[in-house]
Amino acid sequence: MIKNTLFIVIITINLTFSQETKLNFYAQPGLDVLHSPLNKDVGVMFRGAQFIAYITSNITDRLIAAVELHPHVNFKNGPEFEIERLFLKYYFQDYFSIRAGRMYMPVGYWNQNYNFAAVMIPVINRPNILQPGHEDGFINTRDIGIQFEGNDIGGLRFSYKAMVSNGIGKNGGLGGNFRNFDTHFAYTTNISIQPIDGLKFIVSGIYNDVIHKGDPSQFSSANFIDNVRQIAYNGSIVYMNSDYKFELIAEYISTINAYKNLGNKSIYSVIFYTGYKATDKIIPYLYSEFTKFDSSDPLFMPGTGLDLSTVSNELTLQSNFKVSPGIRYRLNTNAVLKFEYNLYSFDKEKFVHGPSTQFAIGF
Amino acid sequence: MKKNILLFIFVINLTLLTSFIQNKDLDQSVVIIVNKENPIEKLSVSEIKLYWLRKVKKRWTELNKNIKPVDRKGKSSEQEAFYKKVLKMSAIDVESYFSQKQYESAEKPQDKFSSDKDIIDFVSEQEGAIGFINSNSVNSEIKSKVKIVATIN
Repeated sequence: MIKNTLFIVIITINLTFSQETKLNFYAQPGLDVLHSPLNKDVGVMFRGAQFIAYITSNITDRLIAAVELHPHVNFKNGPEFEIERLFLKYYFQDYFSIRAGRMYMPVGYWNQNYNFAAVMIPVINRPNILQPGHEDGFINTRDIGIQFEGNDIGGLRFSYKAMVSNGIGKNGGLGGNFRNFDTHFAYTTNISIQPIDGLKFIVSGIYNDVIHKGDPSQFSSANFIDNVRQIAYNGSIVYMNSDYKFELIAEYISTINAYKNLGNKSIYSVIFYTGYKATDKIIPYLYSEFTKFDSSDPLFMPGTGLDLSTVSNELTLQSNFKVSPGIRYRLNTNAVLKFEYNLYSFDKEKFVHGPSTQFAIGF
Repeated sequence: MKKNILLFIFVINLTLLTSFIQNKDLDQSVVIIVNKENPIEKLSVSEIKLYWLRKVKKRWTELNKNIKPVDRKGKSSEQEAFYKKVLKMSAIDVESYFSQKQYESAEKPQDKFSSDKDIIDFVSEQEGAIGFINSNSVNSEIKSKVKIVATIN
């Protein structure tokens, strides 16, 4: 812990005193109210501010460094820092640059653009499918590796990103597990075209090479109980153009965890967002997501993953659905107030519903 | 009655004054300036928008330097005219656009200065810079420091 803190402090000081350094902070406190008709219960909860520090520095004309830090409280270990991102980017030309370090994986649109700085995120919460592994997520959203990218090539504004990273078998790279001395990696590619300014068509995918039985998983406290390959596909249509009033993000993400002995376990999710800039400051919107996953997938079953006999081979599907009409009020560039009325459905349970608010700031 | 008349006159005057100020902003003409070393001679309104927002291109091809957009710090009639006539974006949208780019790919946002003089000094020193100044500021001394590539009326 002390080592980590020192490491972060050194990086922060170095970057802060570098030329052309920008230091941004983000915070997003909020309040949730939930009403469960089934239990006839009402829950009210303040949401933490989720404080984020983001430092970027133009070291040279072509070399950029960025660090995104997330201090939070771990119930077991007390206060700690999480490095959400830490990367160097070297810019050769518009059609080719390289990033190396820990970064968001180039899956779809949402995961690359909206994460912790809620002042820029059009809704209150991230989609369920894109939650980090340790927060009940389903896919690898961040990893350590190297990424090659090029943007806005030719008339169709073709862009590509290709990333080689440690993959979930090495605990997203955080565990740095060399126990098996293997050379397996995760390979992520993302290609897109932008025929009209703001209108993007994206196709992306992740191929996680064989993850060995016994390797640590970033999704639960248990290790993998079987050899598994993870393959994820994505298709997105996005229209986000500040020149126009209409906003749209539609994403489909599907994942197959192909176990050697347990067979295939699938997950798929649809994310839909549309907004309309009624005025410069007021944007009403509608957000919806649907996720269906196999609850017998040992990847998401902490505590049961160590024993094969406890895992059923029968396909047990679970789903959750959320629809949230909301409104965003932009006080200015650095402050946004959001209000949503959420309706959740978990499998066959009745709708759980209630309002949520968020005051997102950046400074 | 007299009070009401006075109040009416005051409101009319205030309305006229406000519209005059707004019209003044809309009538404000600005010139687009780049560094003397930049081989670009003329830019259209749509090209200025693409370069200034670093859309499509992030480097000047001929110069092989990063494009460095230059903005006014705080509200000004020049900034308002540039945003409305060239970018066709509100101030909030411009800031959000650069914040998003910075968050996603660590791209540096626009440099901001509080006066035309500071912008001219910066553009004359930075080869990749592109900025806007009040057209009334232009004189032979400024023309010797920076290159004017467009006039926006």
